[in-house]
Amino acid sequence: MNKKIKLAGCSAIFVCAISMLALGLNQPCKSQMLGGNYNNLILIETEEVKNEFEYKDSIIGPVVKAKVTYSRPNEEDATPVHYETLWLHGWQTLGCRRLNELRLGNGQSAIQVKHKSGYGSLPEGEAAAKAILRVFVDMYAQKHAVTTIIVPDESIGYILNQMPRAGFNPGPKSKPDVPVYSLIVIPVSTASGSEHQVLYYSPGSGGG
Amino acid sequence: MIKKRQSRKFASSRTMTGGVLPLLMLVAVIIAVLVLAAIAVCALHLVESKLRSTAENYVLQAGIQLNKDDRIGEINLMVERSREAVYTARKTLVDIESGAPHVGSLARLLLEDARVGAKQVDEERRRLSGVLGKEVEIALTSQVKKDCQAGTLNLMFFQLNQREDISVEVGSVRDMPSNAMAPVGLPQLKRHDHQEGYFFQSTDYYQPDINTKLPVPDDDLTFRFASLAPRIKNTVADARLLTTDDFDGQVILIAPGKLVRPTLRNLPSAVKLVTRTGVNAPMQLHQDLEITTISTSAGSDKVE
Repeated sequence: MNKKIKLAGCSAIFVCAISMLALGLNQPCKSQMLGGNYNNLILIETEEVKNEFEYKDSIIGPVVKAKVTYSRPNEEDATPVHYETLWLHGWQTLGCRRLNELRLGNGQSAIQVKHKSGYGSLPEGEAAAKAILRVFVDMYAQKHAVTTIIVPDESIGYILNQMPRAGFNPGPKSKPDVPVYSLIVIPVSTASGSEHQVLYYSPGSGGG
Repeated sequence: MIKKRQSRKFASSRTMTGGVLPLLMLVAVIIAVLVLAAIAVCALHLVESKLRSTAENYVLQAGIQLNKDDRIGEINLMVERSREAVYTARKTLVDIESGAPHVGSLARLLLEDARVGAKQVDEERRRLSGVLGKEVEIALTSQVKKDCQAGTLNLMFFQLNQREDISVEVGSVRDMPSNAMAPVGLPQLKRHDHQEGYFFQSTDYYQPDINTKLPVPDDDLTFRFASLAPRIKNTVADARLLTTDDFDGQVILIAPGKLVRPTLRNLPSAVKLVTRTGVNAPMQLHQDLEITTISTSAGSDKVE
């Protein structure tokens, strides 16, 4: 009797393990999980720099560092390439250290923002917004369009609030039958997928 | 008969050559004077080494203060980064204007943003230069003032009176590059900088105290590095004493009898202190002892 129970238990565990493995194999890669199948993922990781320019009356501190890497998540070799690091004082760009060329493959590209601290402070949100714009323009210079921007749930407000300064006005997704008068339209969503917005670009509307 | 003659002869020769006692006394006096002179010289050396050690301590403290928390190293690295930010933004604008002119205004905005950032970094560098100069000035004058207030110091038969009229000059270490390194991912900019002779000797470190201008039209911006010992692997240079030959003086902060209003154009990484002490010896003897000490700041502990 005991033997039968043990056998049944082992079989159940085995079946569970096999089904979990199968589920795991069918899991889409990270970029697919975020709502689309992206060929290029550009990751911007922000971090508040401690102990630098923190002396009294510094006009450029506190500084936020934004590390920009890119990878091709759907390929076998998805090793991220460190493109550049940016240093920002809130919205103001202070510096850049370029390490590699931006060599993106064909297909759709997403920009994703992460905060190293886990929560997005206002300076990090401002810095992330400026880093997005710099990466966006670098991609356009190489004739790569941005399909979507994925931002952390906690800092979407901070990031979108900065965008009108560069001519990107956030708004709800337009209905299919409503014409859109904008040169560039970029969907923005939170990492959890709980919030969706769209950035409409109108040159000349930004205040810098 | 013969004995009498001999004794008379000795007697006559003694009176001819003089007495031994005065000679011995003279020799004793000379030896005493020489011993006293030797003691005086030793004491003077002792006095000088004590004063030197005090001055060295002060100047080393000032040197350490200069690059406290690697402030100079941070600014140098940020100057290099701001240079790259402007260069890359300009390059992107050129590419955008030919390939995607509809985002031209955004690229221009980002270039202007990078240029404003570079100006802010330069302003921070100049502002910090002034702060460092003021800090050194206050630190050294307050130390010397304390010594003066302590009054006369008696050392053996010398009386020392520390004087307040010190001289302080800041500058850098001769033949020392900055800690900022050449661009890694911008070979065109690196080539430009090589052609302009911006690098120190055959290294990839930027030369200090020159305006490392960007190519036209961004050549109106100032990018000036300060001399600072870079970190080599895990070795960070400590603050240390320098000889006058290795010191490149740039700005006098304090000069005796003169009202100096210094304007520091760049971040200093070495400080020179000249102290003056009145030494009074017995018999109304007086001499001013001048001690010159120079110290570097600590090197940068950061690597790009």
